[in-house]
Amino acid sequence: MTLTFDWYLQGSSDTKIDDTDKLLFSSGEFDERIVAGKCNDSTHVKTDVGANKSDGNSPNNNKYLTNSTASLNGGLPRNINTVLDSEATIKLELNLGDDFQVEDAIFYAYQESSNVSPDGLIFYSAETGNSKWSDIGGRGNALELGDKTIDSNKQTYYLLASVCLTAGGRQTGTMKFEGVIK
Amino acid sequence: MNFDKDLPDHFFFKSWTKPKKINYLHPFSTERGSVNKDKVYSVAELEFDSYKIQICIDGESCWIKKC
Repeated sequence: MTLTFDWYLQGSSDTKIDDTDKLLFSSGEFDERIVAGKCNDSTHVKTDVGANKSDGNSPNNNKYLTNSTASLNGGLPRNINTVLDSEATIKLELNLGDDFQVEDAIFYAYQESSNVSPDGLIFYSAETGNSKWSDIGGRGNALELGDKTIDSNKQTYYLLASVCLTAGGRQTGTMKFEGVIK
Repeated sequence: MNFDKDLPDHFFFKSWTKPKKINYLHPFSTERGSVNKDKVYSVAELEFDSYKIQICIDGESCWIKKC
């Protein structure tokens, strides 16, 4: 049994986030740092050599505005429960090559240890259909995800993601998705 | 299973009754960011009356935990 995990930054074309890449939240342009007190105005995939992998794919940007609203790609405020799957930042495809059911899936962000929230930022996320953003810093604050139907041996999760800085400078962390195949 | 530290080692499992049920689970995790790692575990979960014992394998290590 080989389970594969394919992470994508969605856009006009999807950009795969390989295991040597990073999801980069920026101020306006690629690699432009977000200042303290502000949230992302663009989202990109950055390779391990610093290249803009999502350049030309018009990547989606989901920006936290309030607990229940977002700006999509710089647009007017939207209630997040109206965000379509195709408008979410992250698409995560799980493929087992056979029918399978994932249960108890969770999504969170951490730094150093799974129970520790990343320093200097708040990582907000929601699953499409949710009506509120969640601060998913640390495993104890993980977003609980709904079970999916199986489609061509795949189960797909669509996640809104926004980062707001609480401190200046370049901030880092890790996104983690966990579940159980039953 | 009744653990008695005063018994010699070979008695430890003497009173270990058969589990009522065995579940086979495959927990997994996938990470992107400062850490990039995908992992799938195989777990045999033995259900007893008031507790469970999980035998876990991740391809590199094997461990047992009581839940």
